[in-house]
Amino acid sequence: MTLQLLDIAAQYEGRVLYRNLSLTVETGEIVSLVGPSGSGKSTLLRIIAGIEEPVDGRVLLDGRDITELPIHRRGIGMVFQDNQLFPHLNVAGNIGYGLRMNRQLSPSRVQEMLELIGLPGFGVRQVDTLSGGEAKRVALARSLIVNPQVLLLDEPLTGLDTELHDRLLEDISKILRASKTTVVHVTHDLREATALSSRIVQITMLDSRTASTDSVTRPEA
Amino acid sequence: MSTPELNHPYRILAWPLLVAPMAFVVVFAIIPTAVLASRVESLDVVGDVIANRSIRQALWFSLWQSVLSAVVCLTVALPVTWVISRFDFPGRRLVRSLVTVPFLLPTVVVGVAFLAALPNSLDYSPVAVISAHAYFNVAVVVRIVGSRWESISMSLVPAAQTLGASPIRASLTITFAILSRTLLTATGLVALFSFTSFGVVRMLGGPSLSTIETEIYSRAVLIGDLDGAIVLAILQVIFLVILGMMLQRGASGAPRRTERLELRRKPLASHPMRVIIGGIIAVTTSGIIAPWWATLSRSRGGWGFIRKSEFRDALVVSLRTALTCAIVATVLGTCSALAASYGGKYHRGTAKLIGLPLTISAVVIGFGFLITFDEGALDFRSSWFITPLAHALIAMPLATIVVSQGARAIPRDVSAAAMTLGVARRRAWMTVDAPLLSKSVTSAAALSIAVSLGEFGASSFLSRRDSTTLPVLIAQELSRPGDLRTAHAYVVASLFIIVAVVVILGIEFGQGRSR
Repeated sequence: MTLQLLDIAAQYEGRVLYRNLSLTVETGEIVSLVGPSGSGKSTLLRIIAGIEEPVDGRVLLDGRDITELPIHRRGIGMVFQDNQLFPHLNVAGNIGYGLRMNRQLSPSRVQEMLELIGLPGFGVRQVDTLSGGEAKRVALARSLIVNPQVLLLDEPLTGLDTELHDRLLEDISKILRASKTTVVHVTHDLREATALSSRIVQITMLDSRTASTDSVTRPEA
Repeated sequence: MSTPELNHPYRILAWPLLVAPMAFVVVFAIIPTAVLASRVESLDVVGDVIANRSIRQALWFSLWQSVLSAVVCLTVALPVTWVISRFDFPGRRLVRSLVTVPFLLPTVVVGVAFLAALPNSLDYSPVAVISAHAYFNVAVVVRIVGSRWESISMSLVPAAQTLGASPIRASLTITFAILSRTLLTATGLVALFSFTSFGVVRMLGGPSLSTIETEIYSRAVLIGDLDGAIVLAILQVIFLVILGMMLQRGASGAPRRTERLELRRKPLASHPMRVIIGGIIAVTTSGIIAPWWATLSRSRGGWGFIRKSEFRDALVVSLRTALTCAIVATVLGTCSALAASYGGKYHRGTAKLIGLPLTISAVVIGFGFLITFDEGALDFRSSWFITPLAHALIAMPLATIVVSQGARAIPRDVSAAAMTLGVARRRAWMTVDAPLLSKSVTSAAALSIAVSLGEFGASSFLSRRDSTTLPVLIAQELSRPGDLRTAHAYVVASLFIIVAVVVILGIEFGQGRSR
């Protein structure tokens, strides 16, 4: 699935973040968006997911305009910075939630996913008993199980200690490459972006009045 | 494996602190209840009472009106709870304060206000009683459900939607699923308050509608059927203790705090949303204010009453009663709260027992006092302190809860840190713990004063000609013939409304400035 952002303008609490921001993410590509804090990286993900509306511009998926489409009809998954696990459901309930909403609940698929993320036997655990790393994996599994056309990762490794961060980065990287999902990843950590993605896009603030552009960097393979 | 409990530096004080509150509860709650129970001579009496048609009607009305009151209250309160807990808009705190005022008003004042606001055709009807109960309890839903709703992350529903859930399904399977236990607790509490309502039913029920509370009163005071009143009081105590335990079990399943506590509320961005939310606020606030306005309108021509000795005497009695109640309830509540905070699980268990009066209705407390402190050395019925003590029994569990919250917020080792600097235990308490506790102790005293000023159930039994409190005066004036007498009742009710509005706005906005 090719994701295209055309001339997006966004604002946050009345402040214009950028105008005319365009970006194309090819099928199966993993793109990292980097930029300073407050540059609107997370807002851009929320616009792609449909949680926020752009002030201007269009979002296309395989050429189809999805700008006005409600969140649940976009087929775009998102892993939130703070996971947003459903506190009233256990681990299996969280992972199977999307399948249940789409009337495709299959306990065996939940089990497979638990094994894929390295947490077999964790299905009955309450989410408040999980460690930071375990919770991240569950959030990732919950989004991946519904086979999203595009997966959005909003600073998925923030707040983890260095050892766990590196281990999880490696695991996530493996899982994403195996799933061949189109991914947009937001981070302020250039090292994380380099390790995870095939392309890095820098959001640059041109001046304090907020006009901005994007610049593309291809890390060496 | 649970973490072993560390000893508190003041643990040694825990049992001594419990002595006075325990003695108070035993003498003024347990003994009067036991005296009431001992007056039931046989089970045949219970059978006779239950077989009585008017008592069965009162039981049935108590049950169905309390369930319906809870449902109506939830329906009315949920939209404004959603608005207050999920959106930021100018005047949000003012709206929250306004919906809190009815709960702080004496029930008799709410009853009088509805008498003024509703058309005459609805006077003394179930609709009037249920509307007043819903009105009185909106704050319960807004505060209990609202604080839980506020703690649910704004991103959970969008997260569910990214997994394919429609907006309605996401709200049902996420927001309402998380809120379900809190909704149940709030509904249970509203039903409980409506079940034990006395002032509202006395004002709005008329001669035909009676609940268990008003039935106890009329049998004990008006008809002279003591056996019937006692059996009803005992059945009421048993029912409320069971219900209280069930509610406590429900509340003990505390919400899990896995989600980030994201208190940022949404600004009102889109125009349709502004219209919807503006509509909800307009309907709710006008519904809250309308009975106040009607009360003030009906008071016209009666304001000369505040210069009369009848009013002034009642005011002095009410203030004296409230101050005495506040001193007793705050001191005992603080002792109980500190014992629970400093001690181990046995101290906490004992402190919970001290909360027992909370599950006994004010009417039964007043009735128990009337029967118990009526003979020989215990004949205190004509003493001025009998009403403040009954009020203190009602206020003490609430004071305990307020001080407990303050005590729990004090770090366990903060006074130990002072002691490591060479300060003696007593001095460490005076210079560290006491200042940290002062705010919650003051709040407990203020709450006790509010409870006492508005108390009507126990006072109806204990007030005498020379010890009439203001809520009792309202009922007396309303029951006397003549428009001027009715206007007097509305004058006193208006004063309660004005004071409550000023106090709640002062607290809400005073806190805002001190932050």
